[in-house]
Amino acid sequence: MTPKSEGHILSLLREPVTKEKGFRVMMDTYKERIYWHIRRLVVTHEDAEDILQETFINAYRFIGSFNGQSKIYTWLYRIATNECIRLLRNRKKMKQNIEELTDKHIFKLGETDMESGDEILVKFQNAILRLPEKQRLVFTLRYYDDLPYEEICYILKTSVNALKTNYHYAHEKIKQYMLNN
Amino acid sequence: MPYSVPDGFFDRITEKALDEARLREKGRRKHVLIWRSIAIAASLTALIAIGYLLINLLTPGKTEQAAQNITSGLQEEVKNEEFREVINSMPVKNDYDSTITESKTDNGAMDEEGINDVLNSLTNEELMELAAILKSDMFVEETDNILQ
Repeated sequence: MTPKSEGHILSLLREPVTKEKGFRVMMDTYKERIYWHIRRLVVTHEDAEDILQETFINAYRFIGSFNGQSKIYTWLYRIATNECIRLLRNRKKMKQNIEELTDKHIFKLGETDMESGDEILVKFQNAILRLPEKQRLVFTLRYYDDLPYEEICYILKTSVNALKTNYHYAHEKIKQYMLNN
Repeated sequence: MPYSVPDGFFDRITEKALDEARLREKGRRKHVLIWRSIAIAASLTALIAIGYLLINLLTPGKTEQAAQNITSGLQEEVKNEEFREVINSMPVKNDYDSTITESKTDNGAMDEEGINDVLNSLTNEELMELAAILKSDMFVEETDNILQ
């Protein structure tokens, strides 16, 4: 996505007449990328679909508050991540037990349709799901979405050093899990 | 990725999300309109109330009078005034005065001031009775006609 087309989406979204067109363009451009980011965090398709909708609806409604300091997709990542965190925390409150929730996610991951050769990916995903929340977020954004630390800083509101530390710990834990299981 | 997505999910999700966004926007607009109307109504009410209080505070005589009217009973005051007016406007009083003055009795005639004093000394009930008697007295009207 070039900055020029981002500007085009923004100008469409900010005009009441072209707002819906802007929404369509924005969704068509970013929906898959944002969906997979959400799916990796919440695991189930139903949750991911709800959060994806919520993310774009919030972006549509509050486009006026977007100050343009970041890129649109970074802003969308931030909204989506916050929605995921909210959902996971609500679930944690209900479950009262983080381990139980992680196990549930891992179980659901095992239920998904897998093609042959995906076993290693499932194992890798299991390792990610076992990480603490912050490490999981940093690792997912850095490893899968290939976002620079500066943008992850904006999404997670953390310093670069803290992110690097979290990523390092996450990397080590995953490596250990893959080797030992 | 080890995850799968239902067929056609990405084709449908844009319109689905847009429909939902439209619905929420409509709901939000309605909500904003309702709250704006309530806010305007409340502001106007507050302004009127403040204005009324200020006017009353700036004119203390009015406030006292209003307070007195409310506490001591406005209706009674009005009734007394009405009865006094009725009695004063009765031709009997003037006729009496003039006839009494003309005839010059030994005891001396009651002048207008004397009648007013008598009327002022009467209680509300007595005034009401007197007014009722005068209204029901057919001779009062006759006298009135004769004088005219």
